[in-house]
Amino acid sequence: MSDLVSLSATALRAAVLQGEVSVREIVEAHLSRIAALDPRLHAYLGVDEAGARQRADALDAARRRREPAGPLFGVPVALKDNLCVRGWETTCGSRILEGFRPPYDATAVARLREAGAVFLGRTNLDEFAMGSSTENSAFGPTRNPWDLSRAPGGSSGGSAAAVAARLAAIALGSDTGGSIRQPAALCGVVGVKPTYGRVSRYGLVAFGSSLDQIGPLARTVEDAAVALSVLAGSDPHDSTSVADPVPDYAEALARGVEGLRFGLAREYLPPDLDPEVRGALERCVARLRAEGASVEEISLPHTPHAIPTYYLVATSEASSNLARYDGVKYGPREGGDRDLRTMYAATRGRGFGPEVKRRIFLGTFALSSGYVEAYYGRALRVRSLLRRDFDEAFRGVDLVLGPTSPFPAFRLGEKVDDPFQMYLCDVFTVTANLVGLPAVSVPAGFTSDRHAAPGLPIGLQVIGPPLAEAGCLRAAAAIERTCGVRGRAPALAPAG
Amino acid sequence: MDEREAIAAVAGLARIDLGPDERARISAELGGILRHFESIRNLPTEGIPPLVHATAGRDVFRPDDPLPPLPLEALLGNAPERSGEFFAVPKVVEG
Amino acid sequence: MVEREATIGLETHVQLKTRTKLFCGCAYAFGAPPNTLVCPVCAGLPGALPVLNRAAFETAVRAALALRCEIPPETKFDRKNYFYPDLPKGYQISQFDAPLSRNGSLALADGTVVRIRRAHLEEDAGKAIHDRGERTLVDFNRCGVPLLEIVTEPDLHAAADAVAYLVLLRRTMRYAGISECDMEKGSLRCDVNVSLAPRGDPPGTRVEVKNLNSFRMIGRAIEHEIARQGEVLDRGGRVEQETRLWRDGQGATAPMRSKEEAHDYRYFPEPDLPPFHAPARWVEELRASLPELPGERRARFERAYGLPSETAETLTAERGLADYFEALAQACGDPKAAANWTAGEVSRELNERGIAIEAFPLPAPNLARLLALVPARVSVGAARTIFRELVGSPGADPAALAASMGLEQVSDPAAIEAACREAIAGAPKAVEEFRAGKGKALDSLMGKVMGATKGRANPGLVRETLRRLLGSPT
Ligand SMILES: [Mg+2]
Ligand SMILES: [Zn+2]
Repeated sequence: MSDLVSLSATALRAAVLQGEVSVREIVEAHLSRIAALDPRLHAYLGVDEAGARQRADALDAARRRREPAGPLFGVPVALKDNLCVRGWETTCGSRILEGFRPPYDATAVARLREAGAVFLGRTNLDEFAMGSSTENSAFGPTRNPWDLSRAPGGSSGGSAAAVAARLAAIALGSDTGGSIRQPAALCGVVGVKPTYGRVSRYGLVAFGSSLDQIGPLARTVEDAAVALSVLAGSDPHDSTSVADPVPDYAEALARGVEGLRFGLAREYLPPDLDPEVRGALERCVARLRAEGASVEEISLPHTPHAIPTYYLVATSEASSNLARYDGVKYGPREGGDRDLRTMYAATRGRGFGPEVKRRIFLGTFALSSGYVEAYYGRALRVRSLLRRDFDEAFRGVDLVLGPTSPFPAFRLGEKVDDPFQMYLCDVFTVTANLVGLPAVSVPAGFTSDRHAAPGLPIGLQVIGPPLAEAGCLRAAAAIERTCGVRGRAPALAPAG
Repeated sequence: MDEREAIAAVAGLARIDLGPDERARISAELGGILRHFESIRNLPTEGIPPLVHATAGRDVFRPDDPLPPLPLEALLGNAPERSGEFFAVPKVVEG
Repeated sequence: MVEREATIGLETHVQLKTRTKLFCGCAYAFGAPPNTLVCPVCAGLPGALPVLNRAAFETAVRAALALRCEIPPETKFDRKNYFYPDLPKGYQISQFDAPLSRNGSLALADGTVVRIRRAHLEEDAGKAIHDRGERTLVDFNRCGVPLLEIVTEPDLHAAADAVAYLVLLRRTMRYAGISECDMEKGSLRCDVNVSLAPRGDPPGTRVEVKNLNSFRMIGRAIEHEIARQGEVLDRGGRVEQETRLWRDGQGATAPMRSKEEAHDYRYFPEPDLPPFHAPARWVEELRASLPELPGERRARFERAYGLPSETAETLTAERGLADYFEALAQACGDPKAAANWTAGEVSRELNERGIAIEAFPLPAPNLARLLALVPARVSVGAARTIFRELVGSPGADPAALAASMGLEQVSDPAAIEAACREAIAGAPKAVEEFRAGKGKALDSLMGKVMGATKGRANPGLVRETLRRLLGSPT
């Protein structure tokens, strides 16, 4: 097996089961590629080489004993560093959690383990998943594998970059307002944000509790579907997890899109949409029609209010979720020789980065007495209106199609000085979180020579009604098949 | 309320110490962000119920069955300061 | 001088008797080694999520029903945000604007009705220990223990009423199996609000008093606070709205030294928990499962058994004691005697042994067999002696015990006449006095007979015999 790192997860598993390759060989191939490339990409915050090797050997031994092999048997997986893994450090890309070792596994992590996955390491992210470029990591940004001067998107930028650069077959991300889909789009991989409650949040460090969802990033729709089948399902540790049975998501992929009705939201095609993104979307529409799908224009009229609504809800919840980082139980402490009040303020003042502080301030303000009705309360009502938009839309169409991001990967540093410009990265993604809908971002082309930076990936997003992951993935598979981007990989040479 | 006072009040509630530069910057940024958010404040929402949970789930319970607690070291091992089996913090003067 | 009236409101936290905590599977035990009854959920570790304990919800609704509360069809949890080292998440999961119950009441023995504004479910915080060395020490064991917070309307006006309310609240909770309500173990805690204003005016500035660790302290603190506020007003001063701590040593309240800034708890709906429903049928089932509560039982004891109010109060203090009394009354057919014995000998024995009625070895039916011997076969005094023996060997036959202890009453007329003659012969002075019309002299003769028979002689028979022998009509 020559190019183990380029194989899909399903292909790797098949190769292991046919005895063509050992898990150990797969892991070694990935570890050596990480060692060669990650110093420049910085997709990983930590690589558990010893743990991965040990696990690979254990899986190979299980294979020799002919034990049953799970659906991700031998597949090397990277985990966003806001998921708890027993014994690993979990930092959330923040100084305030440095050194924290959770004494338990997230449910999603436990399920992957059960399915036979090998964990390579923890991936970089915007601090506490707050950001759209991974530049808000306290440990330095991740670079986009397609153009090292550009951001991978965020907040799951490390996971997206790792999968795109073949430093893992699959990675887990978390998506509160687009944090799986937007970096997937900017890095040219598939990213799935499941229906709220479809995947247990137990062990995912909370950002916006009513919005957060864990999901897979993969290089193929099929891999994403297999991973989602493993991750999904109800969990007695998460009161918001959904009890509905989990279908085999990979099964429906081959069914094609004939007869499917797509809606193209007028509001997702603003005049200032990047022409390359618009072009990719138009080509995709033409191909879906050619495949027998219908595509019609629809309206989601409250879309202009989605960003304020999202940022008020998310930051309000975050201001409360992040109160526990106070220097008492874990993480570094500042001002411990002073009074308690000083210790809190110094620990939090120094432990959190600028964007996290900004959001805690915004959320604290939005919930504070005298303002809570005008901001947080108002946002919850607009959230209802956004849901009505989608309820209405899904009366006429099966799925909503649109761009994932208004633009392809932007340059590192380009947006960091204007928080609101950064917030606009999420303009097409936040509503799925507010309404709790499943959404998949799938690669659908590259910027052309007419673009300032040719060859950057472009992703499109398919949003479905609650629990319609299978439909979203089926559409994504058709786009993957017809838009012809599979097999194209970023040209990355090991550091010289 | 004056903007600086508002920022100071929020910093107090959030227990976050800001340097003077940081304070000025965050104040300006928040002001800007909130201006962008004005649109939803002018949206008529009378009679529209708030949406807190994206799913319709309800009545999710756990049986009253005991589970084993964490080993002491798994819990206290992460503490920045401890005193024997306790977490330790600066003395709180109460009463 | 204006006559002023105090207005008192109570906020009581009652720890629910469940096997595990409110949102996680940890068990809780008072006094366990610190930080050993904790899991990721109650320790507020990053990523952990709450899941509601069904038994806690059910117990809370039962408690609310015992307090005659309305149970709205839907309830939800909210986060109350504040920083304190014993609060590991930086927020408490509580209930804000949709508590699981509202509008209840508790009727005190004197007819006073205390309205209950609401009773809601919330998680307890841990314990911060300030008096051990240079640092404040934190133990998270108590984090997440289920509490029912019970808030009264400001319907109370005197310390004694507040204490009476708490006594009945505690009894009610214990009867219904909701909580042990043991203040020493912290399973019942109470903060009081006291305000003072001229009678007829709206209530004055509220002062909250904390650090009340017994009913006695609560009574004293309220009395002190009423007096203190009165003095402030007398001086023409203004009562400050504040939280004060009861200093039991000084017998006074004092302002909290650490002046807290104005609280802004930033309540908002807990996104990690869905809403909860209380279907009417389920609520009715719970209501039907409630036992007769102490207030009703006291009234019934007075009515049905003709007991004095004080005795009925004593007998209904604990459900077990009341049950014992009723079993005894049924078995012996004499409610008055059953009441006297339960409130007297049985209670004294429990106190001496330091046990609860549930651990009392003597079953009511066997005690009833002893009572059946009084007064025909044993005297009341002898029965007390036999009772103590019987408690030690509860299976014994009381009659046989009376015989073997030599405490059976002597009713043989010949034996009694012999003893009476002996007494008359030995006390000529008393005989003379009696014949001169001093009826009291008979008592001294009786005493001699009883003494000679070691108290076993049938007193009625002795009296009758003496009168006959002394030639006076009976
Ligand atoms: Mg409370
Ligand atoms: Zn626990």
